[in-house]
Amino acid sequence: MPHFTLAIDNGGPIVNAVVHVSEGRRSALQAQQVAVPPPQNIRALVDTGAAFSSVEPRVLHDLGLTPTGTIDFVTPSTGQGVVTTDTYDVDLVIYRTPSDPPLLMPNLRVAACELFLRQGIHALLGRDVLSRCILVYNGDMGLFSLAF
Amino acid sequence: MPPSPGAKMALEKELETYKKNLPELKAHEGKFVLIQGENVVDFFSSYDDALKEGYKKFKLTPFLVKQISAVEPVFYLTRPVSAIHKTS
Repeated sequence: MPHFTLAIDNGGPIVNAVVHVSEGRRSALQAQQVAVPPPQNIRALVDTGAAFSSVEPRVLHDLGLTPTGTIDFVTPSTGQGVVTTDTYDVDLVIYRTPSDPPLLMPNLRVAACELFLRQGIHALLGRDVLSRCILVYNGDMGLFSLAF
Repeated sequence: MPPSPGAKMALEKELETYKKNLPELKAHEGKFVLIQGENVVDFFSSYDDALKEGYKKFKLTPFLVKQISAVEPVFYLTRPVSAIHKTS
Protein backbone atom coordinates (compact mmCIF):
# COMPACT_ATOMS: atom_id res chain seq x y z
CA MET A 1 0.00 0.00 0.00
CA PRO A 2 1.61 3.33 -1.01
CA HIS A 3 2.17 5.64 1.90
CA PHE A 4 4.25 8.54 3.11
CA THR A 5 5.35 9.78 6.50
CA LEU A 6 5.93 13.44 7.29
CA ALA A 7 6.86 15.52 10.31
CA ILE A 8 4.10 17.30 12.21
CA ASP A 9 5.15 20.93 12.22
CA ASN A 10 3.81 23.86 14.27
CA GLY A 11 0.81 24.13 11.95
CA GLY A 12 -0.09 20.47 12.40
CA PRO A 13 -0.11 17.61 9.87
CA ILE A 14 0.47 19.47 6.61
CA VAL A 15 1.01 17.99 3.13
CA ASN A 16 2.10 19.45 -0.17
CA ALA A 17 -0.45 19.03 -2.91
CA VAL A 18 -1.25 20.19 -6.41
CA VAL A 19 -4.73 21.30 -7.45
CA HIS A 20 -5.68 20.83 -11.10
CA VAL A 21 -8.73 21.67 -13.15
CA SER A 22 -10.85 18.48 -13.22
CA GLU A 23 -10.68 16.24 -16.26
CA GLY A 24 -14.23 17.08 -17.36
CA ARG A 25 -13.61 20.81 -17.15
CA ARG A 26 -10.28 20.43 -18.91
CA SER A 27 -12.03 18.71 -21.84
CA ALA A 28 -14.68 21.46 -21.90
CA LEU A 29 -12.00 24.18 -21.94
CA GLN A 30 -10.15 22.46 -24.75
CA ALA A 31 -13.36 21.99 -26.73
CA GLN A 32 -13.94 25.76 -26.46
CA GLN A 33 -10.31 26.44 -27.32
CA VAL A 34 -9.75 28.12 -23.97
CA ALA A 35 -6.33 27.77 -22.33
CA VAL A 36 -6.27 25.35 -19.39
CA PRO A 37 -5.04 27.21 -16.27
CA PRO A 38 -1.82 25.82 -14.82
CA PRO A 39 -2.05 23.64 -11.68
CA GLN A 40 -1.62 25.34 -8.30
CA ASN A 41 0.82 24.15 -5.64
CA ILE A 42 -0.69 24.30 -2.18
CA ARG A 43 -0.06 23.36 1.46
CA ALA A 44 -3.01 21.55 2.98
CA LEU A 45 -3.77 20.72 6.59
CA VAL A 46 -5.15 17.26 7.34
CA ASP A 47 -8.19 18.08 9.48
CA THR A 48 -10.24 15.31 11.05
CA GLY A 49 -12.65 17.98 12.32
CA ALA A 50 -13.69 18.91 8.78
CA ALA A 51 -16.46 16.86 7.19
CA PHE A 52 -15.42 18.05 3.75
CA SER A 53 -12.40 19.59 2.08
CA SER A 54 -12.11 23.29 1.40
CA VAL A 55 -9.71 25.53 -0.48
CA GLU A 56 -8.70 29.18 -0.32
CA PRO A 57 -10.74 31.20 -2.88
CA ARG A 58 -7.60 32.65 -4.48
CA VAL A 59 -6.48 29.16 -5.56
CA LEU A 60 -9.88 28.44 -7.13
CA HIS A 61 -9.80 31.84 -8.84
CA ASP A 62 -6.38 31.15 -10.33
CA LEU A 63 -7.79 27.91 -11.78
CA GLY A 64 -10.64 29.91 -13.35
CA LEU A 65 -13.26 27.67 -11.76
CA THR A 66 -17.01 28.18 -11.60
CA PRO A 67 -19.16 26.34 -9.04
CA THR A 68 -20.88 23.06 -9.89
CA GLY A 69 -22.59 22.42 -6.58
CA THR A 70 -23.49 23.68 -3.13
CA ILE A 71 -23.09 22.43 0.42
CA ASP A 72 -24.78 23.33 3.72
CA PHE A 73 -22.51 23.57 6.73
CA VAL A 74 -22.05 24.79 10.29
CA THR A 75 -18.92 26.10 12.01
CA PRO A 76 -18.32 27.66 15.45
CA SER A 77 -18.51 31.06 13.70
CA THR A 78 -21.92 30.46 12.09
CA GLY A 79 -23.76 30.22 15.41
CA GLN A 80 -27.09 28.43 15.17
CA GLY A 81 -27.44 29.14 11.47
CA VAL A 82 -26.65 26.86 8.55
CA VAL A 83 -24.57 28.38 5.76
CA THR A 84 -24.92 27.37 2.13
CA THR A 85 -21.81 27.79 0.02
CA ASP A 86 -20.75 26.93 -3.52
CA THR A 87 -18.57 23.93 -4.24
CA TYR A 88 -16.09 23.39 -7.05
CA ASP A 89 -14.71 20.22 -8.64
CA VAL A 90 -10.94 19.80 -8.80
CA ASP A 91 -8.38 17.07 -9.29
CA LEU A 92 -6.12 16.91 -6.23
CA VAL A 93 -2.71 15.27 -6.13
CA ILE A 94 -1.02 14.78 -2.74
CA TYR A 95 2.63 13.79 -2.62
CA ARG A 96 5.70 13.68 -0.41
CA THR A 97 8.29 14.02 -3.16
CA PRO A 98 7.73 14.12 -6.93
CA SER A 99 9.25 10.64 -7.24
CA ASP A 100 6.84 8.98 -4.77
CA PRO A 101 3.51 7.51 -5.89
CA PRO A 102 0.97 10.29 -5.29
CA LEU A 103 -2.48 10.09 -3.76
CA LEU A 104 -4.82 11.05 -6.60
CA MET A 105 -8.26 12.48 -5.86
CA PRO A 106 -10.08 13.09 -9.15
CA ASN A 107 -13.29 15.16 -9.20
CA LEU A 108 -12.94 16.14 -5.56
CA ARG A 109 -15.73 18.46 -4.46
CA VAL A 110 -14.32 21.37 -2.44
CA ALA A 111 -15.82 24.49 -0.86
CA ALA A 112 -14.25 27.94 -1.02
CA CYS A 113 -13.35 29.04 2.50
CA GLU A 114 -11.18 31.92 3.68
CA LEU A 115 -8.80 32.44 6.62
CA PHE A 116 -6.35 29.70 5.68
CA LEU A 117 -3.56 31.93 4.34
CA ARG A 118 -3.10 33.55 7.75
CA GLN A 119 -2.39 30.05 9.05
CA GLY A 120 0.17 29.37 6.32
CA ILE A 121 -2.02 26.88 4.50
CA HIS A 122 -4.25 26.98 1.41
CA ALA A 123 -6.66 24.15 2.14
CA LEU A 124 -8.18 21.74 4.63
CA LEU A 125 -8.23 18.05 3.74
CA GLY A 126 -11.34 16.76 5.42
CA ARG A 127 -12.86 13.38 6.10
CA ASP A 128 -14.00 13.07 2.48
CA VAL A 129 -10.33 12.63 1.56
CA LEU A 130 -9.50 10.64 4.69
CA SER A 131 -12.30 8.19 3.86
CA ARG A 132 -9.97 6.87 1.15
CA CYS A 133 -6.85 6.68 3.37
CA ILE A 134 -5.37 5.33 6.58
CA LEU A 135 -4.15 8.16 8.78
CA VAL A 136 -1.67 7.45 11.57
CA TYR A 137 -0.93 10.37 13.90
CA ASN A 138 2.11 9.66 16.02
CA GLY A 139 2.25 12.63 18.35
CA ASP A 140 4.96 11.04 20.48
CA MET A 141 7.34 10.87 17.50
CA GLY A 142 6.05 14.08 15.90
CA LEU A 143 5.14 12.21 12.71
CA PHE A 144 2.05 11.36 10.72
CA SER A 145 1.51 8.87 7.91
CA LEU A 146 -1.02 8.61 5.14
CA ALA A 147 -1.52 5.27 3.38
CA PHE A 148 -3.76 4.93 0.37
CA MET B 1 -12.99 35.21 -8.63
CA PRO B 2 -15.40 33.72 -6.10
CA PRO B 3 -17.56 36.63 -4.87
CA SER B 4 -17.33 38.04 -1.39
CA PRO B 5 -19.40 36.66 1.49
CA GLY B 6 -23.03 37.68 1.18
CA ALA B 7 -22.98 37.76 -2.62
CA LYS B 8 -25.68 36.00 -4.61
CA MET B 9 -24.87 32.37 -5.39
CA ALA B 10 -23.87 31.56 -8.94
CA LEU B 11 -26.23 28.60 -9.11
CA GLU B 12 -29.24 30.40 -7.65
CA LYS B 13 -31.51 29.50 -10.57
CA GLU B 14 -30.48 25.82 -10.54
CA LEU B 15 -31.05 25.64 -6.77
CA GLU B 16 -34.53 27.08 -7.24
CA THR B 17 -35.20 24.43 -9.89
CA TYR B 18 -34.01 21.74 -7.48
CA LYS B 19 -36.22 22.99 -4.65
CA LYS B 20 -39.24 23.42 -6.93
CA ASN B 21 -38.91 19.87 -8.26
CA LEU B 22 -37.90 18.19 -5.00
CA PRO B 23 -41.26 16.43 -4.49
CA GLU B 24 -40.75 14.57 -7.80
CA LEU B 25 -36.98 14.24 -7.40
CA LYS B 26 -37.44 12.35 -4.13
CA ALA B 27 -38.34 9.28 -6.19
CA HIS B 28 -34.61 9.24 -7.15
CA GLU B 29 -33.29 9.87 -3.62
CA GLY B 30 -29.59 9.12 -3.28
CA LYS B 31 -28.89 9.66 -6.96
CA PHE B 32 -27.11 12.69 -8.40
CA VAL B 33 -29.22 15.04 -10.47
CA LEU B 34 -27.86 17.27 -13.21
CA ILE B 35 -29.69 20.60 -13.50
CA GLN B 36 -29.08 23.45 -15.94
CA GLY B 37 -31.19 26.58 -15.55
CA GLU B 38 -34.81 25.46 -15.17
CA ASN B 39 -34.18 22.02 -16.67
CA VAL B 40 -33.76 18.78 -14.75
CA VAL B 41 -31.49 17.03 -17.23
CA ASP B 42 -30.82 13.51 -15.92
CA PHE B 43 -30.02 11.28 -12.93
CA PHE B 44 -26.75 9.44 -12.22
CA SER B 45 -25.49 6.86 -9.76
CA SER B 46 -22.25 8.74 -9.10
CA TYR B 47 -21.06 12.33 -8.72
CA ASP B 48 -18.31 11.66 -11.28
CA ASP B 49 -20.76 10.51 -13.97
CA ALA B 50 -23.06 13.49 -13.42
CA LEU B 51 -20.13 15.91 -13.56
CA LYS B 52 -18.76 14.30 -16.72
CA GLU B 53 -22.12 14.56 -18.46
CA GLY B 54 -22.55 18.16 -17.30
CA TYR B 55 -19.28 19.24 -18.88
CA LYS B 56 -19.96 17.17 -22.00
CA LYS B 57 -23.41 18.68 -22.50
CA PHE B 58 -22.97 22.25 -21.26
CA LYS B 59 -19.24 22.84 -21.59
CA LEU B 60 -18.47 26.01 -19.59
CA THR B 61 -22.10 27.07 -19.09
CA PRO B 62 -22.97 26.82 -15.37
CA PHE B 63 -24.75 23.66 -14.24
CA LEU B 64 -25.55 22.07 -10.89
CA VAL B 65 -24.79 18.54 -9.73
CA LYS B 66 -26.58 17.66 -6.51
CA GLN B 67 -27.27 14.48 -4.58
CA ILE B 68 -31.00 14.18 -4.03
CA SER B 69 -31.98 14.13 -0.41
CA ALA B 70 -35.39 14.62 1.19
CA VAL B 71 -33.64 16.24 4.16
CA GLU B 72 -30.68 18.42 3.21
CA PRO B 73 -27.56 17.09 4.99
CA VAL B 74 -25.57 19.57 7.08
CA PHE B 75 -21.80 19.17 7.33
CA TYR B 76 -19.55 20.36 10.15
CA LEU B 77 -16.25 22.20 10.32
CA THR B 78 -14.62 22.64 13.71
CA ARG B 79 -12.71 25.73 12.52
CA PRO B 80 -14.31 29.14 12.23
CA VAL B 81 -13.69 29.66 8.51
CA SER B 82 -15.48 32.24 6.38
CA ALA B 83 -17.48 30.73 3.56
CA ILE B 84 -18.05 32.48 0.29
CA HIS B 85 -21.66 32.97 -0.91
CA LYS B 86 -23.37 32.89 2.46
CA THR B 87 -27.12 32.58 1.98
CA SER B 88 -28.39 32.10 5.49
